[in-house]
Amino acid sequence: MKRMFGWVVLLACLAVVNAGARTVRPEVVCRVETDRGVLSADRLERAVVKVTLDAPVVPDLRERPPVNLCIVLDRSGSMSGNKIEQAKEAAITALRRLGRDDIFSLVVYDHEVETLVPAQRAENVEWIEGRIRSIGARGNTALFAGVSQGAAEIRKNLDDRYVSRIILLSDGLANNGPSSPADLGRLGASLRKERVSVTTVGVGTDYNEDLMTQLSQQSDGNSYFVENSADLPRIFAAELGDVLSVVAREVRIVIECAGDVRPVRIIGRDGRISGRTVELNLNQLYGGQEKYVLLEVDVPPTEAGEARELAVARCEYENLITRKRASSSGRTSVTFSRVEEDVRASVNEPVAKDITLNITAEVREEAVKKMDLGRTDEAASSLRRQGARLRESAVMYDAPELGLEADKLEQEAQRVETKAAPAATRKSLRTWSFQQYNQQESR
Amino acid sequence: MKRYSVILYVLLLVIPALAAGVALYRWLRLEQGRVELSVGAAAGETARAVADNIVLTVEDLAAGVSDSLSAFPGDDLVNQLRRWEEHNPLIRNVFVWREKEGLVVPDASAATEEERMFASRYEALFRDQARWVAAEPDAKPGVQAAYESASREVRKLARAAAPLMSGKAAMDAPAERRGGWIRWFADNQVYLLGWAELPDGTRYGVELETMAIVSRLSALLPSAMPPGQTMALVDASGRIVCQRGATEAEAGMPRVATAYLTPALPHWELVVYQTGAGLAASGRRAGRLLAAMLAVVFVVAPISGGGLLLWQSRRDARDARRKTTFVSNVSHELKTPLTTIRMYAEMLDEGRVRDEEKRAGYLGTIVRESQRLTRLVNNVLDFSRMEQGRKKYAPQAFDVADAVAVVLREQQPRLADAGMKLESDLPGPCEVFMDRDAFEQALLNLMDNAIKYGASGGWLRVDLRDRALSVSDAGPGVPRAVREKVFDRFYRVDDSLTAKQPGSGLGLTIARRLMRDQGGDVTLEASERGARFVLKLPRAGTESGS
Repeated sequence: MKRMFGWVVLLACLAVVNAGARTVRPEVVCRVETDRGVLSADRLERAVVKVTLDAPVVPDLRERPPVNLCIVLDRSGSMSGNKIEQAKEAAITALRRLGRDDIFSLVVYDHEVETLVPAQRAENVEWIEGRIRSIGARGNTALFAGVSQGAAEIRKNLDDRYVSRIILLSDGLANNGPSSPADLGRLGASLRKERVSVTTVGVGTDYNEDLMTQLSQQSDGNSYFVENSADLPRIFAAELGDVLSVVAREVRIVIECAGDVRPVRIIGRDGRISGRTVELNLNQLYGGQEKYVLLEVDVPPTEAGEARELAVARCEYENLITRKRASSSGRTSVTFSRVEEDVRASVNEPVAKDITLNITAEVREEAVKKMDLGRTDEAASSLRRQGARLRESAVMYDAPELGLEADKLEQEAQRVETKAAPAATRKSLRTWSFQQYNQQESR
Repeated sequence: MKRYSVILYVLLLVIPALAAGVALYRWLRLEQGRVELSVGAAAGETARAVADNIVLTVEDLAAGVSDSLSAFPGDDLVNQLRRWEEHNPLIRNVFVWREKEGLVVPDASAATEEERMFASRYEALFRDQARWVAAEPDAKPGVQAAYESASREVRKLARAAAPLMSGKAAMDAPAERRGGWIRWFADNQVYLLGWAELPDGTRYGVELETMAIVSRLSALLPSAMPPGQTMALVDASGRIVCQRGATEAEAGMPRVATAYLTPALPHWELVVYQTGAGLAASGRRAGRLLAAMLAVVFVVAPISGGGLLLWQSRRDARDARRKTTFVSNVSHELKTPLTTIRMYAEMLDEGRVRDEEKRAGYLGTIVRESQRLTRLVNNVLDFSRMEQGRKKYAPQAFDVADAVAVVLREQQPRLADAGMKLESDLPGPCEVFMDRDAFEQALLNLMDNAIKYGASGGWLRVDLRDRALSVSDAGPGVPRAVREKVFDRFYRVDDSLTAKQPGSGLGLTIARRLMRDQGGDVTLEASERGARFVLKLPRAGTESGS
């Protein structure tokens, strides 16, 4: 009898241990917070709700989903010399990080497009490297056709198993084929529906950053501004780091505001607000990263002491490790008080910091618009004002990184004022904003 | 006369050759024209084929979308449309419209930025339903319509219910709905809007993602273009959308062929540009090269051939003249001593000479003239043998100084008769290994010349120095222009001096040949007055090999 009991206990323990092991599953966690825990009572309040998606780190690199990568390389005449050499090195850097199950292809373009490395497993690395090294620069720039061909190569292996990414490298204006930011943006949007993201890497100061950021934004890829082509290999390595760590895909976020709470605007992203519901889509989530959405809401006057739920957020996604669709949700609520001290003390510092950074991105976007209209003094002063606010926030939230951002803004304000390197300045402002809106980790 | 006939013959050659050349050239040009035409035709064919492919692709796409639209169930329309738009990369926007309510989807109060732009783009369309066009496939003319009707029919068959299907399944099969395609022009672009209508009058449909379609069209261009040509897809505004070809094409370049993409993409074109030299141009170059070569061959060849023949015949004529002169000269030279010999011999034979001294003198003259005759005949014989390559030499070792001294002693009387004082400087010994007779012959020929032509100077000098024997006189000398010519066979300087004296024109020729055959030479050196001939002796070591 005792012996049987012992066996039962042993089996039960094993079962528990096994179950425990199995339940350690990678899942995207959805957290909802407010910028302040306590709002002022008896008046209309504007609050900011932050919905954060935490993607888990891929536990074992061998488990990561296979990648379908296409590099689209500009080999127009302006790339000749160091730029094309560094670009080739960067492409090889990316290639070397891929595994045998990954698929690699390379498209080069000048006035016409050529597939240099057709989509194939990243096995015959030497041959592929040889092809990459054989690239030479000439001609004009057919960027649209280049990306189209890259997409065609990706489509050869368009399978649910793969994480698909196009990395576009260009240093020039697209002067062959469709070349307006809107057109490239639409191409990006259609590629996103095929679950292909386009990351754009702009080299030097001659390329059109609006075009590149539109393409990336609509397809939910990253964007980089590289002033010195020697940085290219590092950038490509970082980008590959992101690609290799995608854990979730086709993310759909629905935020329902509770009661009379009204959504006002989404900061920094595109989404649909209908009534009290806000819907957004994201393409890919990287492991170890947090992507978030900031939503401004109007809270109707409420009596002091009451508690009110502000919003419920639900996030649905395809888990690339378990290959199943999953979802998670979160909610947030606030209380009200007439005491200003209580309100101030309830500030959620990390959320406030993120809001500040996003506002900074908006200020930078505005500065770019003013620069385009020739109002450089206004642009410079708006940058400086935001810099001052950042310094205050740095102190208030005990966030030294905000102080560093404030220094950067000061530098940018000076460059805008003195009109030193306007092309480079515009590029760095715009690309920074993009990266902030997308919470892009690699810069 | 002769000259005219030569010219005539040359012309007879040249004119037909020229005519042939011209004919060939014109035929080449014709061929080139044909090649260019066929290249143009080929480009046109390719363009038409690719254009047809593009049109069919777009039309197939549109037909597929239409079919899908027709198959949408009436309930849950909005959600289905939304899902379609979310997942299909070729669908940009979806819409639902009702006559009384206007645009239902997208909902103006809950629209994204993109949806708002869509609504404003088609505002005129949704306000005024007269702009809607129903699909009238049979009304379109031409081959396109035939294809479309055929493919539509096939598609209908494919969708038609199986004969055994009955009941609910049969009821659910959707009836053919009213619908069509609208090509909408806004912001310099063409937008494609497909729609269908429910029985209750609700209109719904999709806007196609033009950029996604265009993105896929570039794959329909041929993978390689012939040299010098680039094919490009040009949009309604005249901008090149994508191209294929080694050299970049720009809008203003010359066009080889154009194909239109109506009705799929109205105002779009598929153009083949001439961007480089191409086959036709290289053919032209080859043609020109060939023509130039032909011109050279047909004109230059007969003329140069004729000229060559003319020159050759003139040389032959000159040689013939010289030989005639030679024969007459030799006869003259032979005749003179013979006459003297005969005259004295007859006198001696008739016994008319009593005086012993005179008799001895006459005999001496006979001997001398005979020797002269012998020398002359030897010369001619030598010349003949040399010409035939049969001259043989018998070299021996002897002392040149000695041999020359002997010859000078023998010729002393002759020199005295001619009034020439002899001076000589012959330091010896000077050993040499050669044919002694040949050497003496050469020397004698030189001395004959000196006596014949240089006697007016009054002296003859013979020096031996550095293995070179020089024979100089103080006569009129040899004109500078003909210093080398005098060694040519049969050549005699054409002046009054030689006219008075008989000569064969061979003396120097033979002397030089004799010496050169044995490793030496005879040269005429420049001198202030008179003529100075130098006999160069061969090297002493030829025999011993040192």
